[in-house]
Amino acid sequence: MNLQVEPPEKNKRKKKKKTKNSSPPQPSSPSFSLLPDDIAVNCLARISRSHYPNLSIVSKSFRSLVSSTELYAARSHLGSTEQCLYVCLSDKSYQFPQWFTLWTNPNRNLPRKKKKTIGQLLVPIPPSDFPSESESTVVVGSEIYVIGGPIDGAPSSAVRILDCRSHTWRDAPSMIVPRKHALACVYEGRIYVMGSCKGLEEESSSWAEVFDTKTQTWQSLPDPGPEIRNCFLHRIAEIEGKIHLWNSSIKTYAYEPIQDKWECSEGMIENFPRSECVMENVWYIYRVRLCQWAVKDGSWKNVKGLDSLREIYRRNGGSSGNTTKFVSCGGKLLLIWEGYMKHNPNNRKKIWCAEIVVEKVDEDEVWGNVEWVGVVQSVPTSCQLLHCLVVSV
Amino acid sequence: MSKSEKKIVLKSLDNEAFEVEKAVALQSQTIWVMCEDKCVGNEIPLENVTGQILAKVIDYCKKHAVVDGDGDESSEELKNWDTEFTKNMDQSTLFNMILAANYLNIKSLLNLTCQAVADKTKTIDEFHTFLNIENNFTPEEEAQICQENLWAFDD
Repeated sequence: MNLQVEPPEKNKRKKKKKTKNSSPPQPSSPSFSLLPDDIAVNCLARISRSHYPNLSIVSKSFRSLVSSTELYAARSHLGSTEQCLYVCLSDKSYQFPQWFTLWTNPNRNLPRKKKKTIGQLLVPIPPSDFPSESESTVVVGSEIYVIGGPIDGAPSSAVRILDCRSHTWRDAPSMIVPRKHALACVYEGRIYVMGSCKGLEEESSSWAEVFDTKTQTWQSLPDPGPEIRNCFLHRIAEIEGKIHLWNSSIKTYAYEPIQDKWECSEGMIENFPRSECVMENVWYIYRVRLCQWAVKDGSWKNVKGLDSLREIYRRNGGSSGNTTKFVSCGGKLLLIWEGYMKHNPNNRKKIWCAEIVVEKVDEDEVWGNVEWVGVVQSVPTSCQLLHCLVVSV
Repeated sequence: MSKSEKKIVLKSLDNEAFEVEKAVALQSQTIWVMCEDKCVGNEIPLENVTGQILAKVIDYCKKHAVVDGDGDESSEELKNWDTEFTKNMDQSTLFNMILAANYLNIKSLLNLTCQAVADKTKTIDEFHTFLNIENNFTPEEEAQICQENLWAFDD
C-alpha cells in the first residue's frame, strides 16, 4: 500500500508478542474473565469503539463480546454511543462499491519508540455483495440503507442494509418499482423514496413510495401529478414534518405525511436548510476552498483560523473538480476530499481527511482549529468518493 | 425512632462487623430486600464480601447518602470524590469492588467501578495485564483474525 504509515496489524502483533514475553499475568490477581458477562459488557461498552479491534484479539470471549448485540445495546443504554464516519468508494477494479469506516488510533498520542504511528485510517468493512452505485443512501438508527440502482447503469428495486454495529450486510424488502439515483430521506423511522422511475408503467401510481422501518414494508404514496413527476428535482429534505423537494424553478413542492397529500406553492421554502452539515443551529459548508458558516436568516461568513487548511487542501488536489464532502461527526467537522493530482507518479489517488473543531466566539465570529489532517486511504485514480455518512453506534 | 433502630450491623465474609446508619446501608438493594423480607434482627451477614472491600463500599455509601440529601450543589464535589475513590485502586480491589457492587446491587457504584476499568485500559498490554486475560487463541486463529483485519488495500 501507498500510505506513509505503519499498518496497524504490525503494531498489534508486535505488542502482543511483547505482552507474552515481558508481562505474564500475575497468578494472584483476579481475572476479568471471571466477571459475569453482563458486567464485562458494562465495562466494555464504556470503552471507545476505536479500541475494539484491539479488544477482539485479547481472547476468544472478548472477540465474541465485541461483536455481540448485548454490547451495542449497553452502549445505547449507557449513552456511550459514538458518531462514526462511513465512507463509500467505488472503482471499476472493485467488484462492489467498497465501504469503509474512519478509525482513529486510540493510542496515537502515547509515547512510542517508533516515529511513524498510524493516526487515522479508512478501514474497509466486509463487502456488500451489492453492485449498486446508488446515490440514495440514508441512515436509520445504526444502519445504512443503500436504495435501488444504478446497477450496471440500470434501475433496480433492490435495497441493502449495512448494520454498522456488527458490520454485516442484509437485504431489505425490495421497492415497488426499480429506480436509479432516486431522492431519499428519512423522517420518523420512515424512508421516503421519490422519482427516477421514468417511463415505467407504474410511474404515476408509485412515483413516490415509503418504507416503514418498523414493519419493514413499502407503500406507494399518492400520485403527485405530472407537474412534479416531470420536473427536474435535485434535493429532498424533511422540514417541519413535510418532505420537501427542490427543483430548478422557484416553485416549492412538498409531501405532507399526516394528510397524505402533495402541496405546491410559489416561492422558496422559508426554512431552507442551508446545508446538511449543521451543529448547534449553525450551518457549515465548504466551498471555493473556504469553510463558511451561517445561522438561520443570516448571511454566510468565513470560519476564521483555517488558512493553513485551505493551503493544504489546495496543494493536495482539493478543487471543485474533485469530490469534497463535509459532514459533522461527534461535535466536530470532517472535511473529506479526493486528492488526485495530474502529476501523480504512482497513479494513485489519495483520500484526505481533516478534523476541525469550531468555536463560536461571538455573534459574528466562528473560529476553526484543525485537530488533524492527513491521508486516510490510497486508491486507484479512477476511484470515486460516493458517500460520507455519519452513524451513531 | 430510637437510635438503635436507625443503625444496622453488616457482617463480612471474614466476620468483620460494621455498624452503619440504615440510610447508608439501604443504598444496597440487596440489603434493602433482606431488611424487608426476613429481617434477621439488626445484623446482616454478607457472605460474598470481605471486610476490606466492605469497608470501602461503606465509605462510598456514606459519602453518597450524605450528599444525596443535600441536593445538586455538591454534585461536582461528589464527582471529584468518586474519581479520587477509584483512581488509585489496584486491579484486585477494583474487581472485588465490582463483584461487591454487583452482589449488593448498588447501581451507581457498579457503574463507577465499571467506568474505572474502562478508563484504566487503554492499550492491548493493559487489556492483558490489567484485566488479566489469557490469550487463548491458537496461532492459526490469531493469524486468521489478523488476516481479517488487514487494514489497507494491497497495492
